[in-house]
Amino acid sequence: MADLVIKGGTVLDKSGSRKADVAIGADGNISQIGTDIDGEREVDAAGCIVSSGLVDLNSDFCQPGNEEIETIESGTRSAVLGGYTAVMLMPHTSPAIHSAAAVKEMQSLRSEALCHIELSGSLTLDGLGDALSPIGEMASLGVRFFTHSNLASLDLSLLRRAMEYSSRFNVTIGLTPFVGGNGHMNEGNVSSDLGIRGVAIEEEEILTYQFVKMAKLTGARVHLQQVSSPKAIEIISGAKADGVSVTCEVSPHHFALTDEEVRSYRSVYKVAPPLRTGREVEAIKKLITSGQVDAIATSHTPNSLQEVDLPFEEAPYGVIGLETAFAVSVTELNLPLHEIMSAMSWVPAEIAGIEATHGGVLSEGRPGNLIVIEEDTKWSPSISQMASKSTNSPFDGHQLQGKIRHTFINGEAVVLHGETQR
Amino acid sequence: MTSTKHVRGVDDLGKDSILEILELSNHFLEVSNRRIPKVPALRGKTVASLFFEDSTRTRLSFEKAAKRLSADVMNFSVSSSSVKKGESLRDTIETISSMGAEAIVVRHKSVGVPWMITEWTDASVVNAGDGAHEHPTQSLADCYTITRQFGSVEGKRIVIVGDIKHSRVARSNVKAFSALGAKVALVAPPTLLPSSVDNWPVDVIEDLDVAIKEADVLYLLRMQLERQKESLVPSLREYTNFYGLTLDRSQKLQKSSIIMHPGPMNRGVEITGDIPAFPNALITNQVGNGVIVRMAVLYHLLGSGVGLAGLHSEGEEDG
Repeated sequence: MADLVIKGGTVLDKSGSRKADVAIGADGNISQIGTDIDGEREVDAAGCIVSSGLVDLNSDFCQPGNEEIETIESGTRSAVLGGYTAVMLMPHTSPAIHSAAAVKEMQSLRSEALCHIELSGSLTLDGLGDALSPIGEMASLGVRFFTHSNLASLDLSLLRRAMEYSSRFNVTIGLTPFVGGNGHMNEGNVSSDLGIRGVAIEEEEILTYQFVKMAKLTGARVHLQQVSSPKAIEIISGAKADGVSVTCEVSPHHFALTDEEVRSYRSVYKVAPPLRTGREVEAIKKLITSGQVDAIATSHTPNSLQEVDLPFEEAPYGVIGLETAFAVSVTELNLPLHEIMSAMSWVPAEIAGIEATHGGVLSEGRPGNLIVIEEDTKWSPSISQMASKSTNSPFDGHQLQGKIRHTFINGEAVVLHGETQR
Repeated sequence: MTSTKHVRGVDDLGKDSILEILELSNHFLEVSNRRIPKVPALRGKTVASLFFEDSTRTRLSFEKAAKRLSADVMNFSVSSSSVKKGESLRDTIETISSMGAEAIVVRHKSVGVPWMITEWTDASVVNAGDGAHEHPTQSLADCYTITRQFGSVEGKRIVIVGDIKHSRVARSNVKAFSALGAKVALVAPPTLLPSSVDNWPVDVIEDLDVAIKEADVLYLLRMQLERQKESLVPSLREYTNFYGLTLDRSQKLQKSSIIMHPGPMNRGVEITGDIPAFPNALITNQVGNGVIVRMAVLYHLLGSGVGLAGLHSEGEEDG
């Protein structure tokens, strides 16, 4: 008799889908996948999809340094409720993750996490863009991903050196094609009407082209974060065809919302890169459907309660998204669940380098990092009920479809019927 | 009388309300010409004035308007306030509201603030300027100036010249003038035009010397000295050369045309020489009309139930 059986669902993984029960052993791994398995404890998955948990490539949990805004505990609680079994954290904490000591501190904070935390390191010291971080030392502690998101202060020659230097350490470099400070929203009809300084979409396309060219020149492996321009995705596809080692991610807010939302003046629509026009949003959705976008990532960025009531031009960029990303993707994208899981679980696991324990094929011996999905359930997220300490969700009150019923981390049920268990 | 709760942007009013306010302004013009230019229409009401950006003339204009209607005025300017001590915008509004204000007049450097604060107060909100977005009472005053001169705004060719991109006066005026049926044209260096100006209900004319000949109203915007530092124009000299109202250019205006400017003027930049003193330059009229129109706006918002007919001035009471 198995310890725990997830009963009555349809198992979905890379190889396809089949009706099956999933048994978890005492070691937290999948012990058996088959029909009519009995267990000591049974978790109901009737009518549901059972699959690997989601993997996020881009979240900020503000710890260490800004724990009043979000913590590893509140952020991972948010994550597991949204179906994530692993989250990669961005390094712009305080101190930044730019040294071996900082890496070790973050690794020790894993004890506070409800799901797996993967670290990314800062490409430059303090993220300032002046000097390289000790990439090799951090890589030997297990960091596989380095990012720089403060592009206002990173010059291309330093970026080239960072790419060349890191190429021997088998790491991926994450880059966001946005220059902070040049504008608060998309440059277009809305910004012209409102008198708010905008960023032209061409700037993102130019930065994307620079990054992929640099990757080709240096042989580095890059991951383009937060792409919002359809033409930028086409540039990335062209680079892939040209043999460049490049992947890209898009966030749900970039395929669900347009710059028209800013006419409400609410800072919950201020993101970087900015929300684009309806035409671009439709084009991005088509590119996701045609498989040209590797991953969907949340870029979960909490803000403080003081910042909530700031005017649009004064507010910081960023929105939270872990608890709504899956449902927004199911609701907005004309895509079979298999493709959504590929973009939200299997491919991000590979990009983060954790495919041995997350994503992929479900079979005996694989760790029990699983979710049970109610694909057709309609629901409406409410910020007052979210686990995140932050309230900047642009999907508060929206009608969405697709709910996470249960989440398992290493075989342990951390979310049952939409409630965290600890 | 249509009921309006707020004047945050021109669209809060629409054509009918704009015309109503212009009509009301005629009444208050008469009041302003009395020996004691004061009526008790808003007695017992409080108008709070909340200026996060420096502005003597607009603040005084609202204050004068409120006092002429016998309203109490609460002045709040950021340099002397708790905002400097870190009080949030929301806390400031809620404090003012709980002190009892029927109207809050607000000016702020950030777009959208007047709309945000309506969530935090029951008072009527009047926008005295939010970033580069809107300045609706300035537009109403400008519509009044044009109406007093020509009888109406409809059908007039109004040419607005200058830094359209960063101008809340331009954005509100394009809306207000278009709503009243004027033919609006914009003249500006390409760097100072909004990126999507082709979707605005205006003509864009490259050459001021062409535009000036057909203008019934030549409306000049202030050219901020900082724009040169941002490389939006090579120099102020170049700006004046191509876009300034010089004495030579002023000769090209039709005899019946008028020159307007929202103030303050950068003399020698967008307007040169003695032009502000010319008979067809109505710049000082605009200032006086500003007080009158703001009386009409405050009355429109707060004066329901107080009939205008037979409103007598305060006899022995002082202001």
